[in-house]
Amino acid sequence: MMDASNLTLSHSKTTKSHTARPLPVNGGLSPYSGPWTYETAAHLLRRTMFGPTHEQIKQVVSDGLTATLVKLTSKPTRQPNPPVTYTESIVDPNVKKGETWVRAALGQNIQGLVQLKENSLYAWMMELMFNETVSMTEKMTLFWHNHFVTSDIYDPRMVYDYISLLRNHSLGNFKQLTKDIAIDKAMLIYLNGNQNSRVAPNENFARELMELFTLGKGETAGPGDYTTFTEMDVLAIAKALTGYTIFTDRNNPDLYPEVRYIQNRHDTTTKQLSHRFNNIQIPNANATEYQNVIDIIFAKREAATFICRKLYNFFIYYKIDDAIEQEIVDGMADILIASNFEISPVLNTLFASEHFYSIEALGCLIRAPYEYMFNTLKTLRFVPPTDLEQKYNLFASIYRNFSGMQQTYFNIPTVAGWDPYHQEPAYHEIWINSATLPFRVAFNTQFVNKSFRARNVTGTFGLDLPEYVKSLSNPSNVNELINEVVKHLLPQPIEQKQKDALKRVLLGNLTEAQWTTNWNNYANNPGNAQAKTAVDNRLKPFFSTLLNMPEYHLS
Amino acid sequence: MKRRTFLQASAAASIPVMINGIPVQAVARQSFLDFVSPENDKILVLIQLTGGNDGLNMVLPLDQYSALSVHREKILINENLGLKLRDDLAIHPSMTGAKYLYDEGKLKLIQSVGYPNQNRSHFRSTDIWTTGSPANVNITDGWLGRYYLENHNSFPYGYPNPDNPDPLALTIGSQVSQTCQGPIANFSMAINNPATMNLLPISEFAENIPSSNYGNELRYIMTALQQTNDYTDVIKMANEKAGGTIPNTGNALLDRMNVVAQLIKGGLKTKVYVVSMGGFDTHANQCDPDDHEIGTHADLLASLAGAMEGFQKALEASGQAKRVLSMTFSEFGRRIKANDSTGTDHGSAAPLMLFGECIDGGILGDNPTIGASVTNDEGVAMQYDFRSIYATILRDWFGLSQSDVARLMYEDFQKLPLISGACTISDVEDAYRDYQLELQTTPNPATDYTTISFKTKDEYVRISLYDSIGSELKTIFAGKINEGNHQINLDISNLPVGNYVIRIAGKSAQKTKILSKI
Repeated sequence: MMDASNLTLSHSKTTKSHTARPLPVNGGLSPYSGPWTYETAAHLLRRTMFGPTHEQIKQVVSDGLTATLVKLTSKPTRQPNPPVTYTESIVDPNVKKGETWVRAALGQNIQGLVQLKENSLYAWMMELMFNETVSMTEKMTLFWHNHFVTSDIYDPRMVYDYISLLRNHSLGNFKQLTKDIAIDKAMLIYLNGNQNSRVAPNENFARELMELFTLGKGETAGPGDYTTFTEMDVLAIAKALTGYTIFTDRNNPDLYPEVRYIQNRHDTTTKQLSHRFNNIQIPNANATEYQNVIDIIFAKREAATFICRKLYNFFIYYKIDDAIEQEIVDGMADILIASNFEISPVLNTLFASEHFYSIEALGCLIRAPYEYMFNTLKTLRFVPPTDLEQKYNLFASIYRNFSGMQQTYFNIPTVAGWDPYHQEPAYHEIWINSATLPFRVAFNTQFVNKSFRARNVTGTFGLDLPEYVKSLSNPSNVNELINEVVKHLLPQPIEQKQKDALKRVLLGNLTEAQWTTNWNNYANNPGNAQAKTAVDNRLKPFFSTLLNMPEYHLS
Repeated sequence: MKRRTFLQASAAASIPVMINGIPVQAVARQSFLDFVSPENDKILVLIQLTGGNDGLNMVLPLDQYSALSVHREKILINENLGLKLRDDLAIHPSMTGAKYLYDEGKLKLIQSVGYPNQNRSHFRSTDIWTTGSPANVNITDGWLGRYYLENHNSFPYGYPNPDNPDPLALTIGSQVSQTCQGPIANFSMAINNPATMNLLPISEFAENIPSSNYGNELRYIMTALQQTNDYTDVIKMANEKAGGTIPNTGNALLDRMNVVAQLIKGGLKTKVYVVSMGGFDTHANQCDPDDHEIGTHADLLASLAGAMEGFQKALEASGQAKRVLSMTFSEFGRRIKANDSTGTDHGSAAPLMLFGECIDGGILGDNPTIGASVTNDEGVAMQYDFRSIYATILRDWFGLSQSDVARLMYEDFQKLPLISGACTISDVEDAYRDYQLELQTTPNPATDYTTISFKTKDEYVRISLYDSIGSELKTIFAGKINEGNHQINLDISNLPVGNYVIRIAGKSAQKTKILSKI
């Protein structure tokens, strides 16, 4: 039998793939020394945030790269306020409207109350992404959610604790996060750790801990031997992790659930690891044994290279060949190990590198649904309602809209994460197909046309396009307007004939001079509804066309 | 009907790679004439059961019941409540739809389907099943993707076109199927409800697309937009031609399969449809602890069997049943022993179902042997390699030649009696159909030596030894052998105590035996 690496190689050599080409190394991780411009600043913010405004980009141009990276990769100083009960349509005896429910009794017996808390959580999560500042916190929280997957957890309080853990550590220490997630309630349920006991070891978490969370699975070197770990290690580590479970009071299942270590569920034997771990043994350490397990795993270099490959895939591009592996991933892994698994130094180096600012890297990533849609809402400065109930209902509806685009927070199809982040060979191209494209188009079109409907809210929502256009340098000139919008919203320049087509859509039956007159009329009389409608009626088809351009899917 | 003849043009730039002596030509191919005429358009429907279906709960080997009742005390269904297909075999009581198809001779149940060196990761094993690759080789093309690549090597660029106006393959759902993955793009299109599909607005496209990563991705999205609209048109037309409305049945799988039935009825020339159903990863609470015949897995099987029956009836009503072959698959079966959570963990082989008008109905293979004592991690031993089923479909259903199939599957897998003679379009080696290899080993249990006795035709056979979780330990014999009875002595003195599996595979049959080392 051929060995695997040769076979894969022969495929990539002989098929004329359009997508399998990696980015050029272009100076690798050495610090970027080129000019700092609107384009480079926009590139940085598009990749590290969900949708930078024109002002944010301009601010970053003047702040410079170094100062901006400090902002982007610093741990947040405070946690966001927790989600709250946003309606009195269902009465919660323990929580008043406007107060948080995250530590309160669940209220399982009250029809619709758990659902309402879930909606609150979902809306809160969407609002956090929408309200992000110049910080990688939300983007990294999404990264960790896709990495340490839990999904379909029945108690929203546990989901809140889980996502808060990820957000707390989002720019923190990967090793510590792995330790904390190992005994997180949602994770104990999702990968059956709560059922892992001395009598009946359940391997589910132990396997994914190595295969998907830390080491990755190498080539199969022999029966049950995946190079990075073996089946024997799965069983041994499953035993070492035994004993943790979730305590729920049978008499009051509504109480806040707690993680408990139960000594007699723990396997106190010495666990033998395979030659992949130098045949070392894990002596019994009771409640802290799981931490020793994670220290043992993190002593392997693969714990650093694997996560660095994932960071590269997520933020830069999906194709990693030997050159990228050696020049970029290995360098990232060295930094990660040197910093004892602190994540920020790696991100700092990556986003300051020559590699990241190579011209080839601009716009080569297909936007995931959250990047795509929040880019529309944030760059075009959507203003959500101030009323608590309306705001939560709106963001809950926005949340539901993402299912058609195949990315829904807290509902990831498999423990490996959303396919486009890891599935060879198509990766992020999987986001785009005939089933998902119509949902992207519909969402944008509805917000442009102010026809987005939210459940339990009368009326419709949409963008204030004249208000956005006002923020441009010279919107009275149709050519300058188009150039500036394109620069803000699209990753690379477009062709003149595409600009001409956009201009035809924007002008409709107007001449350029008439547009100028109409715009000035609005600018001088912002309170005049008729003047505003006149420009809005031209901006709607223009933005509807622009946001549905294939270029707009790229970041 | 005769198998069509293929013309192979010169493959100039090919770099042949040899796998098991079969050259793999991973080259852009324009080497075959279109081999399917519209009037003979065979359709394959795949039903993917994601999560790893518990085969021992779906198909109950009644002759193994006493052993199963030890290992699966907390989940085992009552032996008297299963739907009997045979004296020694019953299916889950919730699967009345499958029983109906079986009684009609339209269901083929293949026992213990898997592959050597079973991988128990969902992702890797799903990749193995969808790519049709050996467990230790990473291949990224889907097995049907390779089939499509034969005739459509520039896809998606230039599609649709007058020769190929319809989607080549369709996934009902929101994600395209990995089975149809090609080296450039996926050959399948994903759709939900044909009735609510709309055309997308198309802006002015760029003309001079840069040759860069950005340019490549841009071209991909432009193609996807344009193709979505073109295919949307033909799908909506087919749907309207077939009546336009698809009823909501309350069974989500059946609803998706009814979309397939509708489009087939409407004349869409798509050859492959993929539908999937999740929820089979039943680590916990797979049945009601007090009533094992109901619960999560029972509900899944009821939906599956109901969808199979409903789909078949819809095809029959529209007169299309002869064109359609359907197959279920799942990344693995589950372990013999239940776990402590009223569930089962990732295992090895499991039964697979094929159904349709053209199926050679019945049960293929022996009941699995369940040892009186099994280890915690023991799965059901593989009897049939899933790639034999793929090879048979490519050969007997899609009419490819033996050598083409061997090339696409990287190995010359045996052809199985799955498709009834009246339907198959390949030439069948009748002498090799429906015969059984005989395999015995004595003593068993054994300590130092055991003697394997087997009977073959004049053919190439391979005899292998596996451990209880499906890893191939050694090849005992591989080579051409004369017709007759044969014996081989096997030294097992160095093996650890436990259960092992001896498997013999010939041209069109195979047999497994459990060997206990004591």
